[in-house]
Parts: sequence; structure tokens; C-alpha cells
Amino acid sequence: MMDDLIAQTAERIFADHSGEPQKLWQALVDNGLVSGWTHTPDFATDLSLVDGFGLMRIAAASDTAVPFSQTLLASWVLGRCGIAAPTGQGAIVPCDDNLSTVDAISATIKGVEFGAQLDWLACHTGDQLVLLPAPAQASAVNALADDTRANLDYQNVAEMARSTAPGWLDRDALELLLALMRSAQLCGAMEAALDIAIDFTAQREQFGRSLAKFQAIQHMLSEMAGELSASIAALDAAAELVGEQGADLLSVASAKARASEAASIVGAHAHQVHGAIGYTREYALAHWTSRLWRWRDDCGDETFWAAKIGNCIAASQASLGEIVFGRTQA
Amino acid sequence: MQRFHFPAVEADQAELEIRARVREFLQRERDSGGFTPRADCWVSAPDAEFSRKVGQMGWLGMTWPTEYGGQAQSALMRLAVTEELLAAGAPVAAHWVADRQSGPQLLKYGTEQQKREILPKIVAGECFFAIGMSEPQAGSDLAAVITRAEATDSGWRLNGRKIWSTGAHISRYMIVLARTSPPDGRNRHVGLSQFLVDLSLPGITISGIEDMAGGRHFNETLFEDVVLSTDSLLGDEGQGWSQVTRELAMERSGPERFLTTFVLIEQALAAIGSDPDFQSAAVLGRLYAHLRSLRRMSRGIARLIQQGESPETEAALVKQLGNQFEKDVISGVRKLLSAIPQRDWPDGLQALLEAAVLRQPSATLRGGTTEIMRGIIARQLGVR
Repeated sequence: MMDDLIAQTAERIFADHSGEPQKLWQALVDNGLVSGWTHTPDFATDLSLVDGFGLMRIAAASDTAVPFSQTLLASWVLGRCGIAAPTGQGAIVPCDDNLSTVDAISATIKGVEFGAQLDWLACHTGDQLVLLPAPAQASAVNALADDTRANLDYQNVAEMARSTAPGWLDRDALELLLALMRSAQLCGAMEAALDIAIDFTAQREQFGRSLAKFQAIQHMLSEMAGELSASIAALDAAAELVGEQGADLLSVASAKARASEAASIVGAHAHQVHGAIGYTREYALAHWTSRLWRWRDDCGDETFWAAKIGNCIAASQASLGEIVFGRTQA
Repeated sequence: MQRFHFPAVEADQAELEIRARVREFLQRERDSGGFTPRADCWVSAPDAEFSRKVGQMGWLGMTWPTEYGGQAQSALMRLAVTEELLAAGAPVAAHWVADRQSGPQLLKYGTEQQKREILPKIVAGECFFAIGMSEPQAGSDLAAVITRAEATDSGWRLNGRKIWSTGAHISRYMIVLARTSPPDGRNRHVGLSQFLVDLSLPGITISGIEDMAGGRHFNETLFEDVVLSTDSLLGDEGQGWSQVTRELAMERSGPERFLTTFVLIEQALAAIGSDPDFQSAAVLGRLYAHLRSLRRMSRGIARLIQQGESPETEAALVKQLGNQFEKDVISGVRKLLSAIPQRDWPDGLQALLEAAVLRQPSATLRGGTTEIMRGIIARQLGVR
């Protein structure tokens, strides 16, 4: 469970700087949240892992998009590789290019979130972690909502740092961490969609009473609350199991599978209770629902992760009862 | 904004040990022909002999004080035992209501003499209870009950009719919700009281109602001028509604709201083997992901109960999600098995699946319908 004081501080910062991404970022930096997962030389961080994933959830509930979660996660992974994260906005991506040359890297890295505005990019390739500067050229792709993704073009660029990743940190381990980040973000966006749906239906009147007084509306809101609660439970379980050796497969797979599935229901119901106003660019709902629809597929959708779980269970020598009830952590 | 609170609860060594002990016990019972795993076992499979054995193991009333035969264990330890019993499809129906809600209700509202006399018998697995809430005209609308108890010189006189009283025919007692004074205008929650009723008293007629699966657990229980002693009044006169709300939180919050079909997954797993195709793996994995999140919430509820809270809304959330999960298990298992000819299914799986299918409609009805759960959640969301 996340620390209350940290949660309240973060919620206040995001609320105070709604609509002002640059001021928001500065406030997050000033309050030590952006550097919360940057390691000291003895591998300590200011912020616990559970609190960090909690912050990602809060960040995603904000109506103002900054690459906070991406920077936080990249800082942590860099730290595990003995590299101190630079200041500014960053991200970490799995990279198919082996980036083998050191002083003249030329590569295209596709579909990087916030790609055009990043100050640095950590690339995980093979057993190496390579830190690159801001790209000279970024071409926007797939512009859904406003955290625009970009293809980043590097031509003869010198790397900023390089390190061999620790043994546990293979591609799969990184994919787990990214999936957990997305799970946290999905929960945050679902929370925001539910909140705005509750507020809207309480205020909007039709047939002489507020929409919230209609049982059909109440039941959709209750179903959203159920999906959200289940997703948060799965997220918390996975976040608590992250350690110095990364994340746990079954718990992360459960968290992402649960949240991705929930996102479809929460997104659809949020729009249904809003009527036409929710379908406008001006109104805030689409900020969250468009992300829900993107994030439910990002880093593996619910079917992808469910199949991972299913294969693990089927291949295990243990009985289903032992797998489900035998762990020390739920 | 975080609206619902499910605290995290890690399993300690004691919990892992008691789970192992329950599993050993169940294995022994299965091996000796003591039971065949059943879907919906906490309703469909009463077995007084089995309940006595569970009592002898010390697994009934285990959270209650030692002076009444209990072991003052945590709600988490009880949850561990109930999960294991349900997951195995064990025949636990006879004692379920007494252990889950009637005993705790007596502990809170009973007289000292009632507690000393009855609770140790529940603990021993020798005294069963039925629920006395629903009536022919009062289902989801529980406050519409018309069974009435009139004060007499020596106690109370009870008249009315309760329905869907599962297990009444094998139970010693029923806790009856009855009207003791008229509603206060539109406020129907006043004037209700709870009574501890000995079902062997004159004037009580219990008649069975067969369910659509052929099960014989339901009853209609008729009360005609039943003479009750003064101390039959459970708790305070007029406080029946708040008492019954507390009882319902216990009734709704347990793992029997999501584990009744678990035994199906276990058996279907044997049929699909260790290397399923992508689609089957995804079906299986989805069920695991849902179950894991439900268990996390369920453990949080046990912790809240342990802390003395009555997590009515959290229980409604888990029941809403859990009942849906039970249906998803059936559709998931059907998908897992669809490519396998029925003749190649493990022995007994088809019968188990059909029994589960026939019992499924009741899951989202009993203990409060899904629609009632959604209403409770909506109230917490501030829209009702």
C-alpha cells in the first residue's frame, strides 16, 4: 500500500498544475519525485518501489501528460545497471538494433512515447544498456491524443553511457517492468474516468432528475468501480513483489491482463453515461479513454499475458490449488 | 480518489501450515471414500458426518473465544480453512451457515446462556443453523418481511413464513427476521427484530422445495403461533435491520462467492495437459488473473473483519465480481474442453460441469442479487 503523504503530495502537485505540462514537470522535479528512483552509489532510492508504482497511477489520473512514469522507470533500470540517470525527461525502450558502435550510433527507434520531447533515451539491447541523448530528428507517428509517439532517428551520435545489464535484466525482465508501469497507468486512467463519470452524472439532469438517480446509470458506475478495484488489487499485488531482481511474472501478467480487460469496460461505460459531450475533444473524458484504449494493448494485451500465465500453470508440476493458494503473498 | 480499501495481507507460516493440514485431511477423506468433489459444495453437499469431522479438527468457530469452544484464531486463518474446503469441493453445507454467520451473530447478540449452550455445539459440528430472512413477498426487498412476533406475558408469539431456508430440515435453529412493530411511515427499517428460533418447537412446519438441479436443500418454513421464550429475542427489539445488515456482510464476504466452481478448473487442467495451445492457455490464464485479484480483495476483507469493521461495500464488490467469475469459470472450462471429445474427458468431469451449470443461476441471486450489490456500491460512490 502506498504511503499516504506521498500520494497526497503528488495528487496536489498534479492538481495544481493542470493544463501546464512544463510547470507540472518542474514541480515534480522540485519535489524530488522525478528523481525518486534514481539510485545513490549504494543502490538506495528515495522512493520505495511500491510508492513509485503508486505515483505512476496518480500521474495517469492527471489530465496533463508528462513522461513522468517513463522517466521514473528508466531511472530505476539505469541505476540497476550502475548508470546515474541524467536530469530531464527520459524513457527506456527495448531495442532490436544492437547499437554496437560506441561513438557513431546510427539507428531508428520506433514508436517512442513523448519521443520528440525526451532529453535522453535508455536502450536495452542484448545484455547492454545504452544511454542516448535527445534525437536530432523525431517524426510523429500514430498521433492518438496528445502523448504523441515518435520514431527517433539517430545519425552518427555518440552514446552518453553504456553498461552491461545485470544477469536478471534480460528483455523479458524489462518487458515485465514496462507492463507493470502500464498496469499502474491503466488503473490511474480508469480511476479518472470513473471520477469524471460520477461527477458528470450527478450534475447532468434529464427527465427532471440527475442521471445518477437512474438505476441503469448506477449499475454501470458500480460495474466500473468493480473492474477498477479488481485491477488495483492485482496491481498492488504485483508492485509489492518487485525487488532488486525485477518483477514477478505471474503477478505482473495478472495485473496487466486484469487491467487491460477492465479498461474496455470502464472506457465504454464512461462514454455511455456521458452521452455526446464525452465524445468531444474539448471535454476531458477522451484524454483518459483514448489512453485506456492504447494502453490496454501496449506492452502486451490481456490475451497475451493470460496465455503466458496459462502456459506457466499448465507446465507446472504443482497442482492448481498449490499455485493459487500456496504463495505467501496474494 | 481511492474509494474502497482492501488492505494487503501476507500469509504467515501458521497460515501455510494450516492449509497443509486441511489438504492432508481432505486427501485422507477422499482416499477413504469420504466424499466426491462437488461444485457449489457449501450449498449442494450437506454431510453431517463430515461436518463433525471438520469440527473435530478444530476448524469450526475457530475465531471465537476459547470459553465458547473456539480457538481465538484470526479471520485469516479461518479464511485459509474455508478456501481449502471450497477449492476441494468438500461437503461442507451442513455447518456452513452456523459457522459463517449464525455463530458470530449469537456471539455478538446472544445471552450468556445461549452462547455457553449453543456455540460449543456448533464448534463440534453437531448443531446447524438456517437463515430466516427471505419470505414469499420479501426477496430482494428484505424490509418487506411480514412475519411478525408479538410480545406475550411470557415471551413472544411468532407467525409467518420464511422461504429458501437452505438446510432448515437438518438444522436445529433458525435466526428469524420478524416485524415487532409497524414501520414508521416510509421508514420500514424500524420495527424489525431478530429471533433465535428452535426449529423443533410446536407450530413449525418445514417443507422441502426441490431446486432445478434436483437438489433438496431449500425449504419453506411455516410458523403458526409458535411460542417463544423472552430470551429468544436476539439483540435489541427494533434493531433487526442493523443486525441483519451486519449478518449479511458476513454472508456475502467469503470465498464461497467466487470459489464454487474452482474444482472444475482443476479437473479441466488434467484434460488439457501440460502444453496447451495459445487459446487454451489464454483462457486458463485469464481465470487465474481474475482469481488472484479476487483473493487479494477477499483477504483484505478478512483483515477488515478482524479489525472489527463491517465491510459491507467491499463485500458487495467482491460478491459482484466473484459471482461473475464463477460464470466465467464455466464458460472458460467449456472452451478448454471444446476440442476434446467428451469420451476423453477425465472421469466425472462431465457430471461435475453439468451440476455446476445447473446451479449457476443461483450464484448471482442468493445472498443478495448482483443488482442489489450494485445498488450498495452505488450508494458508496455517492450517486444513490
